[in-house]
Amino acid sequence: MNTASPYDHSSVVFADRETLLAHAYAIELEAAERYQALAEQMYSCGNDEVADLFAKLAEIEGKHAAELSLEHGAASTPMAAADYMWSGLESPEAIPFGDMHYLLQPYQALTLALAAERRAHAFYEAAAAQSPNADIRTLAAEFASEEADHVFLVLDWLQRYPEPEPDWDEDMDPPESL
Amino acid sequence: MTPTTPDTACALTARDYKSDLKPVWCPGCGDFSILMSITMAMAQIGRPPEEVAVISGIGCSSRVPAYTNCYGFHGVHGRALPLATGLKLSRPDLLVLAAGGDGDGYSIGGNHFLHACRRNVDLTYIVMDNQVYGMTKGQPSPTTPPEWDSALVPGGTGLRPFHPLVIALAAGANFVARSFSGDANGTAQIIVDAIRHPGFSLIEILSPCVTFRPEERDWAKQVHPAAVAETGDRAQAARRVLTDDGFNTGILYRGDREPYQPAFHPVEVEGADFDADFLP
Repeated sequence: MNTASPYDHSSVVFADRETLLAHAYAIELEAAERYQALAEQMYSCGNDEVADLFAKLAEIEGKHAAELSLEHGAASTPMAAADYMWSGLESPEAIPFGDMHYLLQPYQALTLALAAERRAHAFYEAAAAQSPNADIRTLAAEFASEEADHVFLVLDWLQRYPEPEPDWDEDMDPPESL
Repeated sequence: MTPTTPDTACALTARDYKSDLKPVWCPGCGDFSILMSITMAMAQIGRPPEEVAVISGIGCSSRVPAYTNCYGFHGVHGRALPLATGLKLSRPDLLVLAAGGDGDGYSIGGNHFLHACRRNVDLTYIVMDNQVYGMTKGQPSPTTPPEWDSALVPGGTGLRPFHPLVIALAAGANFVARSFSGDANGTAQIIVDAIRHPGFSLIEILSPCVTFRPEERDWAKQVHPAAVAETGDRAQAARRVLTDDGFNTGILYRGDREPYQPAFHPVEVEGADFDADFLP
């Protein structure tokens, strides 16, 4: 797994509430869609345990996106890709496709989810610290606090699963031999 | 900040361009991200799916037409570009994308690649380059490094890799870019720019094959934006891509050649005329 994607939050500054909400909505929606896509990948290669886990995470993130619309009035129409100021290559809560492996175990899946929640938390913390408007800072701090709660939830969840053995990715019947 | 709006008033999202078929690529494959970039780009362009055609040849990445709900043609190995060229010339109203991999495009379809660049028909060619034949279990492709050692090529091929960007520039492509699959947003924006630029556009997207080239996962740490701005000077662009490290990303060349689009004279053909060719 490659979890070393670079994220630099130093330029995360929001001038208006609408743009912050657009980013917040995109973060949750893209996370939900990514988890769903990862679940489908895992189902397709027979890794049902991790697939179920990703499907559950997709459901949770989808609810977060819906809440943002209901409670804060976030618009569900996306901006153009170039208008998002992500601090990495993608929105912070989306697990990179490149981090997947067909033999992934629940512990690793949750470790990736934990990293994603932490990135989202750092993104909002940066927005809260760096945005000029007090209302924006308050809203960003609220989102950061929610993400911090998610970090603790995933940490708690993580304790239910054993850490994989060092040879977790060794496949005695690898796909290239088919 | 003023958000950019799509080209049409009808706001479409990336989801509107995805089909119900689930990709069967290996988990970790870069092609997942590229599919996402294509659908994001389509949403930004704003042409409805029925006005877009995605044409491919054979290979893992050539499955992409099935995963969009645009019109598509999963053609013969290496023949995405002649199919796409013919379609664009006969239906200039369509937005035509050709897509495929390095083996399909640069080896089996290598000659078509040269002449598609030369003809400069207004279409966009997306090459998902993983530097290996993945679908057929890991043979070296034209872009595989000479020293790549595997069970199928002990000690490596020792052959100089094909340099698609320089060849595209020399052959006359009007837009040349390199991207990385892990940068879905950046790739989407390059696809948008390529589509909007008239003529033949080549986007070479580094797309790791995690099954046969697992070391390509490290590309995420190696890619970097090109240090210099895009150029309209073909020779300068060629010099740059010949001497860079192969991981420079961004638009590298944007030319001003007139696209080839002969005057279109629709021919009315009755269905029975086709039948006459095929039925006894």
